[in-house]
Amino acid sequence: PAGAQAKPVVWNLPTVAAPSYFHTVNYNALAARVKEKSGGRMEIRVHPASSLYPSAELIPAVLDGRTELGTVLASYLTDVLLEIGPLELPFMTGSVEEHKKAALQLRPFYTERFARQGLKLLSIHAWPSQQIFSTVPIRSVADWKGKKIRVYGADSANIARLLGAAPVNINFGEVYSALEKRTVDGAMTSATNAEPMKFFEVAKYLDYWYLAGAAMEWLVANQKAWDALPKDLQHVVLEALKETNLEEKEWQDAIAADERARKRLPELGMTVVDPPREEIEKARRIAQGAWDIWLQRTGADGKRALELALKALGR
Amino acid sequence: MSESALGGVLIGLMFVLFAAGVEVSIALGIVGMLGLLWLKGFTIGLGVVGSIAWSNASSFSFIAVPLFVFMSGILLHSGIGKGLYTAVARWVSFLPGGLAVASIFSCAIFAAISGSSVATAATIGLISIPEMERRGYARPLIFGSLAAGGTLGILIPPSIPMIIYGVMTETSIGHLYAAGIVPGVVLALLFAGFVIGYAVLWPDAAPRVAEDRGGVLDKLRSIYEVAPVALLIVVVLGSMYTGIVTPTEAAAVGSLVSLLLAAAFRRLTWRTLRDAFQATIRTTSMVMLIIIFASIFSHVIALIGAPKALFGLVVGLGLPRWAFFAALFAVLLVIAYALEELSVMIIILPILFPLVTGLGFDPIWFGIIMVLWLEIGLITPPVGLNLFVIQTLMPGTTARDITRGTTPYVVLMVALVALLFVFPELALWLPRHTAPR
Amino acid sequence: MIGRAAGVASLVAGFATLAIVLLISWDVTMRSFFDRPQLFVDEVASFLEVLVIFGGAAYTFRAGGHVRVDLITGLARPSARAWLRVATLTLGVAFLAVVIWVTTQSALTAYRYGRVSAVMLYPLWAPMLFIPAGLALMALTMLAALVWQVRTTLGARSARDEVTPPGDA
Ligand code: NA
Ligand code: NA
Repeated sequence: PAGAQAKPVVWNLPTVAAPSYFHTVNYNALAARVKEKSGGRMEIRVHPASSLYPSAELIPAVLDGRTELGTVLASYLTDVLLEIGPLELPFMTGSVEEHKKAALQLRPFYTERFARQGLKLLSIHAWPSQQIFSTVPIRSVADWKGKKIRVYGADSANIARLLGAAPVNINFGEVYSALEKRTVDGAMTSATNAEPMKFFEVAKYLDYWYLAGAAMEWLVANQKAWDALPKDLQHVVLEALKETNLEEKEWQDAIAADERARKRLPELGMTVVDPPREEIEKARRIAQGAWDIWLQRTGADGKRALELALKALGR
Repeated sequence: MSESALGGVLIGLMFVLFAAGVEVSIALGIVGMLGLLWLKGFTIGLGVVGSIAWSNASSFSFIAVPLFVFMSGILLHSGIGKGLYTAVARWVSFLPGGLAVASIFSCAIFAAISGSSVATAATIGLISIPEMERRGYARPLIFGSLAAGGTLGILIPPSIPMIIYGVMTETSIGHLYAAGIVPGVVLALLFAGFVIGYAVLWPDAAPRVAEDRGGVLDKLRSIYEVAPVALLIVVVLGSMYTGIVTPTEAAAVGSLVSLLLAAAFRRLTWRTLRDAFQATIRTTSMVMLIIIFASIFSHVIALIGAPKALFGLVVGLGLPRWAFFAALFAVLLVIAYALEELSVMIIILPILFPLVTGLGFDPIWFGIIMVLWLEIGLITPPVGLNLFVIQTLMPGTTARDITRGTTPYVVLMVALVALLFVFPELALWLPRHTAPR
Repeated sequence: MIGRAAGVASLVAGFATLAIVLLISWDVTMRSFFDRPQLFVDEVASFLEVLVIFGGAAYTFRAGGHVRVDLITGLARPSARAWLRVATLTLGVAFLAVVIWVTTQSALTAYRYGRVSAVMLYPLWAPMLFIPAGLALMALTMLAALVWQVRTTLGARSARDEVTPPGDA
């Protein structure tokens, strides 16, 4: 009886995903299962759409223990944990499936790296592939030349630059009008943004260069917070992860979202551009320069990570 | 202490600190910090403060605020802005309350350049307040027309809150922009109508000055005086709508053009620059400290899960559609009177949006409702950023001036919300018919 | 002395505004007319913005720019108002001291993690230090106001009221 009266343990889970996006839906399902299994003794509060922490502050927040749970998104790997992102290097993978296969093989590596930063890896997820919206088709490497392309980070800026384009830094919120008014010729972002953000209205082309086959998102817990959690509740969380089949569901949803977006684009009046295989190969060779920059920044850890990634991909 | 009790105690304490005369930003910071200490302890709890301070202060969204105030400061202190006002005063001298009406329409025009209400109120206020004061306009009339007129900045596109809403809820920012235009124009007309009516009933509140009369010749001559500012507006609007600059960058270009104009008229002195600096710093520092410390308090409210509980309660009433919306807006209105809304919107939107759209309300329409709510929040005491901006420009403003000056506009905004509920097409017609393809 | 420091800091904040104007205009020009966008500008501009906000905080306090609600205090007796201001200034200085401490810690953590900006990879700890630095100056300015307020409050009965220190304090 005393236990039943106690205040429930409240954990927070901030995420970048919008309220209706599949990540949020899945995290809410996890939270509901945890609440049910613990008989209301534990509550996970999901904070979608960067409402608790702005995106770039997410990783520091979970590292410092300011949030018990957190989502580490590959796009925000600019410093700490930089070496866990070999799969996100430009043109490393060409589809969500390929990404999945390699990512799940890298689990021991991820677990070890997170543990070194005081984080406990719970589950490995992904965002759909990164492509390019553009106002003129970009079919070949030569088409990149001189285009003003909106980028979202150092790696995407490097790809653009190496391919001869001019990278532009524009807030995600201003991308729609920048495309509409031709302030930029194109923007790198997820293909699944076409419909909800109405990018199809202002950019006629979606060029499937597969800058990244997917972008990883790791669900982690702060280790100190985890250790402070009663054993039976730790068990509840782990069981809930299994019962909701969270990891597998996340990958299936990412694959489905990617396929759905691709099928939907022509219906929205967009032209899907599939650059010839040899052009993508050419771009991949040129983009190796971006890999070198990444290797310089990550040192021995990065070298090992890249070897593991290539092995997992069977290259 | 239970979580809801903690929330109540903190809000109570906030009002006590306000009443004691603690700086608004510091009072918000103190209650936010106490909440964090209670919930998370010293090391972890206070780590949040550093994170929020940095991410807000370095946010590119807010950069237009200092830039537009700077632009206005250059126009004012170089004397270029005064020429504009002399001209406008002549043209509107036939209207009762002409200058206040002109201020409202200046705000509406400037709103098409600026995405921020604070910047709009500060920019237009900086130039027009001294002129209205000189002509003996009543303080509540000056105060209200600028504080409320300034709020148009976020309803008429571009709009920073619409960008935030669009990104958070995955709705089209282009559609939100289009949806804001008609309600923005309607609201500006409602405001102007109120001012004219007020000036008819109380002519002493808006005296007519002999210098503003003048014949047709004077009116024509004053076109020359307007030319520089008209040029500025054309350049900024033109560069934005042709895509040469993004809305954020437009603020910098506007500043640069005002500097060039001042130089061309040989009025770009060290004194002009210094006075413009001071105006910029005072507005920016005051407003941003409030935004930062209010965000910390909002973070606490998010941590205790207050929004979910609150809106769950409203839904639980099982009301019919119109009554649900009325109850929801009533709750929002109470929040508007208590807190700083932009940071509150960021924490409640993920809960509110699925709930409201789930009940069949249009996402774009609801975006406009949220913006109107933010506008109300900007002019409702105790924490209304536009009130503070105008207060800084009008030293000696009393609480009575503020309440009397702005309450009618709050009523008009609530009326517009009701109107939008009955005629959603007011917002939705334009995006449906003009959006590309 | 503190007044002069606040003045200098405000001047730095002013020139930071001017620098943002020139940098963004430069980026726009290079992007539109020479097809050479200046990728570094956005992040540098956002760092300068921090300088505008916090570099100007102390000056804004001296100018009475950090708004307060005077509805209740305006009705109080002058001597009560004087004591109340002693209390609120003390509270303000104490609060700022804590914020200065935690924001310094944030900057140090950023240094330890090697945190950098997203696109240009600029180290973040340096611009993060603008926050505690600006607030420290604001706290000193408040402290000077507090000393003045205490002196007035303990001084001649007729002069007891809320006061602002003279310009050179
Ligand atoms: Na606007
Ligand atoms: Na308010």
